[in-house]
Amino acid sequence: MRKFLSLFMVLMLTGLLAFSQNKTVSGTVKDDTGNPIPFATVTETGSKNATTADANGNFVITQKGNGTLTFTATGFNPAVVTPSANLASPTLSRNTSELSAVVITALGIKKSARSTGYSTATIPQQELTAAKATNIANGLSGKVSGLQINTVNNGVSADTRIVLRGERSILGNNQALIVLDNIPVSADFINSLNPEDIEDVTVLKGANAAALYGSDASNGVIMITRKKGIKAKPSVTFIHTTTLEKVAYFPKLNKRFGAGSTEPDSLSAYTGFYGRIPYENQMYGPEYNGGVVGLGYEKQLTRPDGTVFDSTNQIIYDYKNPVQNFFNTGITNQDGVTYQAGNANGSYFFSGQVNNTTGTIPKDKATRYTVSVGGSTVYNKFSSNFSVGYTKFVTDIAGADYSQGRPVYWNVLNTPGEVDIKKFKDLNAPFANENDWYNAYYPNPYWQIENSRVKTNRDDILGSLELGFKATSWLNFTYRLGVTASNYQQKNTKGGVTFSEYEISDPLGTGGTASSNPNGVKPRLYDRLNEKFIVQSDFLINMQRKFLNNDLDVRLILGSSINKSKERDLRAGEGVKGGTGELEIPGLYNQSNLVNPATVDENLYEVGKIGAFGSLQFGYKNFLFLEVTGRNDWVSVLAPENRSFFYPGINGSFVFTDAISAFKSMDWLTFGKLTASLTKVGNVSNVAPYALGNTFSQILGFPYATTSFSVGDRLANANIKPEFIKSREVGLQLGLLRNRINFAVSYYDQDVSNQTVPIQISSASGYTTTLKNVGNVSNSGFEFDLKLNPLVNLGPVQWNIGGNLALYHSKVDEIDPLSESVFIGGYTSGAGIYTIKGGPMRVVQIKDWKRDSLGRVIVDPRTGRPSATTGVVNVGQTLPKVILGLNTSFEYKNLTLSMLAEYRGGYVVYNNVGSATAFTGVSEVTTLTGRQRFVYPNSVVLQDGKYVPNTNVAIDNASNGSGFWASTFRTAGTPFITSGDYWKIRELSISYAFNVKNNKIVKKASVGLVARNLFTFLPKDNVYADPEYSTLGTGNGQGLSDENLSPPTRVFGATLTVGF
Amino acid sequence: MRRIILFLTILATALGFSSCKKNLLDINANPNTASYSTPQLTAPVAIENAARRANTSYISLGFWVGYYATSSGFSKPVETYTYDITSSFLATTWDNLYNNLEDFDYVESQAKAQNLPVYEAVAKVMKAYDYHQLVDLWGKVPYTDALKGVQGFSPAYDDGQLVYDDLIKKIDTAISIFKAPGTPNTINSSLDATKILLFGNLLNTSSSAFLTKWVKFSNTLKLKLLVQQSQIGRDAYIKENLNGLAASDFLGLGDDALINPGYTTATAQLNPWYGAFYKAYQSSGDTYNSTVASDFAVKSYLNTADPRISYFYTQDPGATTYLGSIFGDPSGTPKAAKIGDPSLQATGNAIIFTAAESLFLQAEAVQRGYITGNAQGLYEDAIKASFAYTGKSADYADYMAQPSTDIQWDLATDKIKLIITQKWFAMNGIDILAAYNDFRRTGFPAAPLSTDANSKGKVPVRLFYPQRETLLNTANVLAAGDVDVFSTNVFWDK
Repeated sequence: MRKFLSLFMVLMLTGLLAFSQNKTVSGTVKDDTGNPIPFATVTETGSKNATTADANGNFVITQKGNGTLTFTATGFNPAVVTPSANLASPTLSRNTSELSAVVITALGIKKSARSTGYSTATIPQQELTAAKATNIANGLSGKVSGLQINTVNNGVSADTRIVLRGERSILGNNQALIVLDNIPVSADFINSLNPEDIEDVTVLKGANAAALYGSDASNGVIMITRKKGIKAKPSVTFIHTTTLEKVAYFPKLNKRFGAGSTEPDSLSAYTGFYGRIPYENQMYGPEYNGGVVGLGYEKQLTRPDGTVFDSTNQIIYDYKNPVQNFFNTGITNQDGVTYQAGNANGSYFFSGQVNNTTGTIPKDKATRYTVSVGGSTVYNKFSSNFSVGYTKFVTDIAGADYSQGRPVYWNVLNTPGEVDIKKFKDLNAPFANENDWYNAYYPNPYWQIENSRVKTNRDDILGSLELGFKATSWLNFTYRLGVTASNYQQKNTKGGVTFSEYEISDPLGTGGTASSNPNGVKPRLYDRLNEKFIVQSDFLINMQRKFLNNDLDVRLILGSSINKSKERDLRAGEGVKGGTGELEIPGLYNQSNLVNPATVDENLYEVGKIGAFGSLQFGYKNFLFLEVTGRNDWVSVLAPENRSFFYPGINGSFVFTDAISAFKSMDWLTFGKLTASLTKVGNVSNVAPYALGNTFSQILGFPYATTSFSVGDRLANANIKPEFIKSREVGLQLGLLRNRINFAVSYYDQDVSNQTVPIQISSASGYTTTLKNVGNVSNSGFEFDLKLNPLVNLGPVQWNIGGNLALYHSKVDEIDPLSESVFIGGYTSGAGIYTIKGGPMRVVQIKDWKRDSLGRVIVDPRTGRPSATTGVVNVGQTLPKVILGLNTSFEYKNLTLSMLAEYRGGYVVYNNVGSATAFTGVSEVTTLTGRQRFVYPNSVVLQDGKYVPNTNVAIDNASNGSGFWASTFRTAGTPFITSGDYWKIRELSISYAFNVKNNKIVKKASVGLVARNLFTFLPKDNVYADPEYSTLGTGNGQGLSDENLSPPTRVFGATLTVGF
Repeated sequence: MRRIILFLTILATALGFSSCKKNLLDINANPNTASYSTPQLTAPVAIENAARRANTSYISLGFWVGYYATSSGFSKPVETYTYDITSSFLATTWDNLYNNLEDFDYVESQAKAQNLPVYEAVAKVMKAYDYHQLVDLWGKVPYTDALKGVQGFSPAYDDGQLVYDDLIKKIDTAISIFKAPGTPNTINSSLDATKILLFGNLLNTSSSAFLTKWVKFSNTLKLKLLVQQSQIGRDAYIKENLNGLAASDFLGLGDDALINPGYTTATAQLNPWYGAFYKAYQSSGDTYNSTVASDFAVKSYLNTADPRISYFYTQDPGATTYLGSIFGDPSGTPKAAKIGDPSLQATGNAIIFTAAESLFLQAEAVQRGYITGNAQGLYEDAIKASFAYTGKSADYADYMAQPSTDIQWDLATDKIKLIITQKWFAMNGIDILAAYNDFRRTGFPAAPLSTDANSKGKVPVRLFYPQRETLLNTANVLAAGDVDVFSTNVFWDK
């Protein structure tokens, strides 16, 4: 630090000397809307004398002659101005085709784009909201190279996983940090924001760009800036959007065979087929024939007068497509208004939005209310800006069923094709209630929808405040305070059911739900309360001066940051610490109404972090830049002796087209920049609070009459240290043909060593896991961005095209001396996501068929059936190797058409829905052989010690008491591994802007049609689900999906904007 | 310049957080989970857990020794009925036992440090109780190096016999403590009122009844470990270690070692055996539905008109008699008898050791000449104890009066076979592992093999090391030698 300061003082002194010159001209560089342009270059025309404006556009230049001044800024056309007296007020028109002039970097520090030595990207609001996505994350997908957004499920408030530049941490967090108005917020806040409130989103792609944010930023940062109003006359804008959501596709379904099981007693010795079992969920019955059959067995129905009679539900035995018919068209209505106004000294912004969504599952709904206020003022040396938003997000969706805890979709998938499901929507209709329901094992999905609800309510307040004080022309101070508070409440209510004596007696011996619950099922309740609070305060000192005839621009930023977060999580009821959450009185869903003593789990978390950082930047003649950064963190989660850690970084950029005269003569090459950076970032996000000491907990039903504490399974490591990410990056940026073609490429290489990994240890040690500093992962990739802007420009016709491409590579160099492989998640005895030494970061392992040396499947010479390997085998990586985004927009007069497509490729996914639906016979694959005997394709049998092609040993569909499809077929994971590749038409919009130039009241008006995920193209083998889906939610184990995830949807609708 | 210094001073203040640092950073004390415990606080959960593991872990072995078979209509445990086991078979039992042992290890070391000798002795005996199960199933297991936490993430494996021999010594040490526990007033008695669950509580440490029972239990466990070694030519060693012990030194009639911390009908607090079959009170689970009486067991009980059948099994209401499934029959017998309702008591006691098992062991030990006593008397007491345990005392005399070679001591030519067969009758659902051990050691009873088409045709004599262990402790697992589950016997099984 001391060296730093003395260097600083030396530089100051030389600076003071340099100032004793003549005729100074000052002013502010502004754009054509009157906003200041930061960091414009001011040159005395025809000389080498030049300077740079500051972040607020203010400049002072010492002029030697009396000529004109030339103003240039990246992204703007140059302007030549003759100063009047000592003042100049240049206005630069925007050159929209160049890469944006100013970038906001970590901690809100503005830098000229040419001086940044690492990769960032900014998405302005109009691109974010082009297709009127309700969630900002969905609006980002496909738009930035290196950014992967997975929507891991479907529903009225689906979760997204946001990852930049692939995965680095084996078991820790890999998701990008979300920063709202310079305040880090937890990732789930992204669902709470109204996209219309957003000014822009800046993506700091890796540790290189994000280092100053400190230890949470190693995964890159999504910086969201809210609007603060514009310095213009007041304007009001109303936007209404209505979109419809329809299920896009289902797994391929069996449309030929109805209900029947695989049990041998239903097998007809005569036909070789299984007989129809009217109460089955499995579809291994006879082929549809249009005859009359009973749905369910004979039931005892009750007339309105209370008398009881016997009746069987007779139906026509043909396919009625219950799966498709069950789902609704969801509707989303977004109604928003914004008001903004301002003058030279300040501006403000108000907005409100109501967002109403109904889902594709009947009765699912969500409502989001957002109100936000922002503003900024400048008064002499003081400047301030603030924004405060309040969001209320309410969801009400169907919950798990009462018997097996299955989601609605699964119960729909278990509805045999002959069931006309909509007939049972009214629970008072005959055979619709749980006693009369045909299916012995699964409930009526409509009964579930009516009786099992998950209601959530979330209130968020997100406020931030920034104060600036410009002490002198070269020194200013900034103070920032941000507070985010969120309160989340969840209530799961499950209605109970009582069965009639007739049902309990189980006349057909089904072993179904009624007979295994003779006392019925009591209503149940689960409650959760979660409060989060984060406060962050930053203090920054910014010093900037020029030396050596203004050729050398030196900027020093010093700052500190204090962050404190608190969380309280309270859960009670069903599933909490073994509690049943059972209630006696139906409909009274209150914890005080529980049958058994309440079970409650409470968790508190508190984390404090302090950071001190500095950045020293040198700019030479505005074409060579160098920045050195350093940050020291102190974190509460580590032991006092480990809690302080320092990490440095360096980056530079070289605008060679300005520096080397040879390039200046090349007309076609307008702009060229080389960048390089090297950064280290410490990371403790994988160390949870309170992880340093062993714990004891009450287990196995304790407390009974006594309390008792068992030694925890986790062996604490008091000496855990932060993990460090080393990241290198080089880049090249080119502007060709007067920036009509913009091209950028960057290569990065990240190394994470000594990861803080909760590793599994031999249970014979007395514990099962411990946190260790082990593992070494390297991860590299190329990113390409290309913009043809415009590709065609013929007056009224303009066609732009752009694309981004990211190539990913990762390698696990070492995990731990104790383990070659880490299980990330999945099914412990079947398909799972693993990280394996020597391999890419995430692979899926499954049980394969036993094969001969040529890879042919070995079948049993007796039964014709293949068999699965005992252990699991690696079948490929689950992270895409390639992500490609293509966007194009076409303008003709007032009409704009734009489209965004995204491709991902080079990976595989495991679809457990395939296995689950093979068990139930719902999937099409089970019908492909017509349920007849068949020879397993490309199989071999052992003959005289040799494997010979199997031509005649057919799979005996009946052998061993269970059908091939429902049992053997599912023992290996191979049939359910598919390519994860896809092309998605992510966004499509057509908008028409009315000509309102002469209208005194209406300032703007436009209508448009929007669509999201309109088409998805999947390879032939993927007949199951969206490869983005994840059984493990937004966790690290991406690449597994299952039958509990709702089917994918497409969204389309219309939007109307009117401004006054 | 002065200004610069001023600014730098401000900066220095801003950066020198010394005052706020404490509030911000010294906040890492765990508010959620206890970060310390005491022997008094940990012993109860450890003992309950030990009983829970012993009572519920071995249901699948019950198929192999002839107690259970597969039901019709429910998915079948493939590994169990083909004997084609993998490394996941009972893998959680391995983890659970070591988890439980860690608790006892904590109690033992803390009790020693805090001068609570009785707790220390209890922990030693219970460690032997857990460890012998590991050896019985896996042979060589981590012992000397085990439970060391940070000092050993990958503990080496010890020979089963070495473990057994050391356990015997551990039990001897415990017995000497129970016999002379020193100064019980070092225990804060108010804390201990209800803490020890087996044989009462520590307020009774001064009571000789409490200590005597622990001595009896310890001796009985030692007897079990020694009798287990009957087939490997160590009779001299066994005799030496049982020297001077007689029937009164072991758990006898009425001495069932049971625990009940206060089981309730709440799901988390169900009796473990009940909880293994019911997912909630009166709501049966998959294990209940998929486990039925075997044809072999039903016929065995019916052939001797054994009234205990109604304790172990419950006749299907639609059937006219007790029916059992043939083990391995893929379709199962419809209306086969289910696990006996009287044995499934939601709030009933969990079992540490039954008097019946102790008496059968004593009978065998006398018969083999390890200890002196009346083998026939002990044998008959053992059956009496089993009848008492199952609530059939009134029928004991009638049962014993039957002229069956499976009942009458005098009629039986092979007394060991008689003892083991009767022990098998008594241990149904009570100590399944003991039945499996006896089956391997003596071959009795000759439970029929699985009839499944894919059956390996023989019962495994040991288990594979769990996959987790193979993965995380590879070198030591390899060093423990190749495992063939059909021929790599554990040390006492020859």
